[in-house]
Amino acid sequence: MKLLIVDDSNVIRRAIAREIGSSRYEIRSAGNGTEALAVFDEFAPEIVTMDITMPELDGLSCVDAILNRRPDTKILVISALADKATAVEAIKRGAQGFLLKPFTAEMLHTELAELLAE
Amino acid sequence: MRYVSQAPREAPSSQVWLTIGLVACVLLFTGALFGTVLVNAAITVRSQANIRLVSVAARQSELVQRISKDLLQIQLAEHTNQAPLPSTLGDVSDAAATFDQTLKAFMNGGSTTDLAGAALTVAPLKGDAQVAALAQAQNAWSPLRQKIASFTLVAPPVATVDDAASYAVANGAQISNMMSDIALSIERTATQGAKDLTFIRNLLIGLAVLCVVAIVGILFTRVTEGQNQIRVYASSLELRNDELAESTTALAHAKRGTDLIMETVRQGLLLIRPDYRIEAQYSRELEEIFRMKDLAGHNLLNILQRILTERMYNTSRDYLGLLFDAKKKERAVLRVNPLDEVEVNFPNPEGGFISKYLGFSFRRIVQSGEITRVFIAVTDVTGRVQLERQLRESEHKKERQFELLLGILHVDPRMLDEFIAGAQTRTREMNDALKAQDFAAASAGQIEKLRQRLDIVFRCVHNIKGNAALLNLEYFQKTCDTFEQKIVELRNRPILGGDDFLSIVIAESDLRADIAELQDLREKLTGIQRVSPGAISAFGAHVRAADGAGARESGARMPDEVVVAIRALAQSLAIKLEKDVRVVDDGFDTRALGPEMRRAVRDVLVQLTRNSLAHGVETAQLRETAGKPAQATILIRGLASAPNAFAFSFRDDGRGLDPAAIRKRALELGLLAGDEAVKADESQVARYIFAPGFTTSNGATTDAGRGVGMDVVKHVIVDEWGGEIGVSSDPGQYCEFTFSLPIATTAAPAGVA
Repeated sequence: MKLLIVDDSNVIRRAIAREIGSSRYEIRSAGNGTEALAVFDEFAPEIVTMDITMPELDGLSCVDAILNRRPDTKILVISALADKATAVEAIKRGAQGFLLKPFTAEMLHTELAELLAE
Repeated sequence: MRYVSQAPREAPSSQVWLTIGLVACVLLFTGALFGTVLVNAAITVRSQANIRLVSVAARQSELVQRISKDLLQIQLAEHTNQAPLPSTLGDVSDAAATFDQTLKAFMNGGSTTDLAGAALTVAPLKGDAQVAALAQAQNAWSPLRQKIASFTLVAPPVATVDDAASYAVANGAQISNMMSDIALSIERTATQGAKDLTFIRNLLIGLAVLCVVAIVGILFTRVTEGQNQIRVYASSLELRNDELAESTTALAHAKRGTDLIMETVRQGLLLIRPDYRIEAQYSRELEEIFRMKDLAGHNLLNILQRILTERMYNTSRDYLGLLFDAKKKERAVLRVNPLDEVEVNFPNPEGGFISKYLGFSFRRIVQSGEITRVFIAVTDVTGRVQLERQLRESEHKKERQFELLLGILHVDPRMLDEFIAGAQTRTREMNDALKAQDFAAASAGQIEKLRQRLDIVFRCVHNIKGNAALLNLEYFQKTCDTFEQKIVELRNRPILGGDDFLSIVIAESDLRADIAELQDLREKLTGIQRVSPGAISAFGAHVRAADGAGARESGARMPDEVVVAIRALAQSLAIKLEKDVRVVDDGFDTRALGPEMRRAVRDVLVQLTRNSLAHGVETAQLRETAGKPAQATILIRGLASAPNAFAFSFRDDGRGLDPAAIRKRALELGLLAGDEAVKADESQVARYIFAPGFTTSNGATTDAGRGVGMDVVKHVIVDEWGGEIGVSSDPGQYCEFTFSLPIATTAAPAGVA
């Protein structure tokens, strides 16, 4: 299972990678939307965790771009924005999961498990 | 509810066979009836023919007897010599001819005449006995026939007559009997034939009767069967009625239950269709929550549009779309519910709005793979939200109180009192500047006036912030800092309206509340200090030093309390800014001044120190590079002055004023026109540092900056106390401010209540 972590925070990227890093996932990460698309094209992951607020290309636009490339990609949007409109917008654009920062390891695991179960 | 839809029905063949049987019976009956009529007719025809035949046969024996009798009459007449009557002779001849003809007809077939003289066709008799009898009769008749053949109208010879008569007498009876027997035999045969036909007729009648019976039977069976069927239908109908009644009762029962739930549940429950219209069954509470009657059929979006903000409404509209979008997973959609706790506003009938918090939860209802309805539960969570908010506020308040308490424990109570008094003065000043009605009435043309008010507020906040820094009251420093940021934000706006000041008014009222709380704590603390004498000693020398008279009596030269505070402020700022500074006082003593003026002098020194540390004094490294001592010196001197004045100076050996930077900034702020800037000399340029909003520093810190410090200084000295300020500076070497305050009056200065 290939998983791409997109977040502009190096700390968050590493935290997620450490938390879910196991033999089950092959993990790559990207620090902004533009980089994420480049990695996506080359890496072709099944799952993407996507931060919303990022420099260059924001998370929502990145969700659009990824689903245009491969509509069956599972995207878990992770946002620090408590703004509910953003969450609704993410699901509307086709993300299958939404997680609010800060989140616990358990919440992350649950989300990913449910994402894969569908 | 389950309905049995099964109609009881016999095999269809039975009906068909019954119908076929019925048709056959009717045909048979008709045939039998027709046959009976035909046979009856045949019987009638044959019996009439037979009657004529029998009568003709019977006539033969009569004819013989008549011939015999006529012959005897003729014989008698001739023997008495009378002429026989010609009619008698004719009769014999005719009778013989008739007898002959009839006999021949019986024997060989042919025609004869009946008694009425009508022609009668006779079939030859076929019975053996009859043929034999006929032959016998023929044999017996033939001689007589010959004997009378010669009889004409003319009387025959007596011998012939005698011969004939004697033969007739001898055989006449025999012939007559024979013919009677033949007649009888014919009659018997005819009767037998009639009997056969009658039997056939009766047979046909029987058949017809049977048919009638069969028809009636079939009809009866059909009727019975129909009746049975009707009975079966009726019973099944009854059964269905019972079921229906039962299910109606169950339904009514269920509905009563649902209604009861819908009426009593303290939650808005509703179902919406894919067009967002509300289904008829919803809970009574929903009307309370939405403050609307008869919600069935209403579009939920329209209701939401009325009570939500536009942005929230747009999000909610998108969200309802997601709920009915089968392509979106329910789990993910439910996760991002934007309406789980949302503020709504209802127009208040008495004007204004009523704010409430509502919590919506959603569930999809899926029928055969399609989302046909969405179930919604709405709860008024206003109470809960308010409680949470109060809890948060009270927690926040507790934290703040604790922070305040910790912050003031180390502070000299008298200085704290001064801080509180000063801060209260400033907040009153702010309050006056922020008179609500002025802002409400403010039009675009009065922006400049609003900006001036903003400057006043900024100066007041900055003043409080400086004093807080002096006492190291971190909480107030932070609060004032946030307040200042809000003001800066407004300052940067090109257009100002009355509403823009709302956040400032709120911040001002919060600050006032904080100061009131501080005072409250201070009073409580005094109570503690009173009951615990040891606590007083904790404040140590400051308390005694603050008592000017005591210090003089002791003969020791105690530094002015203000200088002590400034020294502490300078040290703390120096540590924070990584600079090295000492504060030296020379002949500076405020102990003879009134408390207000003392506070004013202290406020000024605080701002000057902060400015100095932030902008004037260089880092030790820079100073050494410039060939100056690593440690900077701030010198506060008391100056000789007129009897009714208090004069002092503040000097630091930092980098001094930078005329070029001041010129540039003055140009930017529009304080100087281009050519003025070139012409203005240094002393003229220095004036501009007292302008509101003036700073040459780009950054803004808690310690100084945002160019308000010198504004405060000028405001206090010149505007409030009617004093004078002098500035002298040598770039790179020093900067010195001199002040002179008139103390002619002991009344509170202008602007200080």
